[in-house]
Amino acid sequence: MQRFNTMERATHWAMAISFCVLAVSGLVMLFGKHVLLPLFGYSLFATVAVVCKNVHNFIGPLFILSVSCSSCCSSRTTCGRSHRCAVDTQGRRIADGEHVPSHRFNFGEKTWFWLGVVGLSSLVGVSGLVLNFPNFEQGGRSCRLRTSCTLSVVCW
Amino acid sequence: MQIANIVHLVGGLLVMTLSLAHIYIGSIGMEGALDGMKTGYVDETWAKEHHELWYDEAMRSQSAEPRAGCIDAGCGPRLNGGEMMKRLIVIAAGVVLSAGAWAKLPALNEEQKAAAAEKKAKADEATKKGNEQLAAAQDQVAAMRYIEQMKAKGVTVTPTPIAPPAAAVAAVPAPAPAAAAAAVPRRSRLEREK
Repeated sequence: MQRFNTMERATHWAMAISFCVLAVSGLVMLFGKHVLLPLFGYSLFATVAVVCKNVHNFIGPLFILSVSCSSCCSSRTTCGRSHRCAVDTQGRRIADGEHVPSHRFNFGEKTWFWLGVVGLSSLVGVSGLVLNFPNFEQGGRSCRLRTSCTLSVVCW
Repeated sequence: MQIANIVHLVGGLLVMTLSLAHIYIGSIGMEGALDGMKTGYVDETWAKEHHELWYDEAMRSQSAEPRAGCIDAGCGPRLNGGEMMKRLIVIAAGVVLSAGAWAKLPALNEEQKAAAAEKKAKADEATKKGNEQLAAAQDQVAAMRYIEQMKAKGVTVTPTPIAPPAAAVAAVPAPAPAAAAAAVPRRSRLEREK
């Protein structure tokens, strides 16, 4: 039986691949100086770091796009009527060690979706955009943030 | 900006950690989960074991209307025509409204354009001034350091005052004399300690 349609799978894998690329390049930039530099030496590490930086900058928007697509597509199904009782009853019953029959998405999947994808990933995306464009008047940041919030609420 | 940096790092590390758990469960932790995402279809036994309510509903709706795809059962009750129409109207209204707002935005008159140009010029000037001040401060620090280093080697360097560019005379004090002035009391203090 069908579980995910083509759109959901396409956004999932776009998100997955771009996430892996971003994670690796981000880790190289964050810890590479202490971990890779002694291994690689200066000239090789410099090349690797520059490539990582550019890859990070160019894949980032793709990740943001796929996260917003996936949030818009899946939020309706992840927030079905079973979600209303998910937090208060299901959580408690899972804590008691019971097996709870779940709907299309179980408690863990919903938590991962809302916390990891919608919450943290969009937080990282927005803060990445702020870091990418420091020359915009950042005084207007709250205004833009409000706009994007409104936009996502409208989409949803 | 600084806050965004911290948020980006901490959030990134957190989501990386969580994604490791997600990848584990999705690949080797739960048999059959990866096929669902690869092909879009799952085994019926798998669905019954892991998502019983979803499976039950899919089966029920399948027997009720045999032509309907199972996926609709997962997405909640099927929307009837009226409901769908209402949603479409709301979306269309939203699009029209936002298009109106969008069309209004770029209509700048001459006055606003002039104001924007002036603002930009001002900002450019401020940036340039800031850069000049930064450069002057860096020069000063470098000069002081150089004098210290040379003194450590036993060479006394008397900074030759560099004539600043004529335009900046009033705005930026010449860096070299300031460095010399800063260096002199230090030397006398050292001598006192001796």
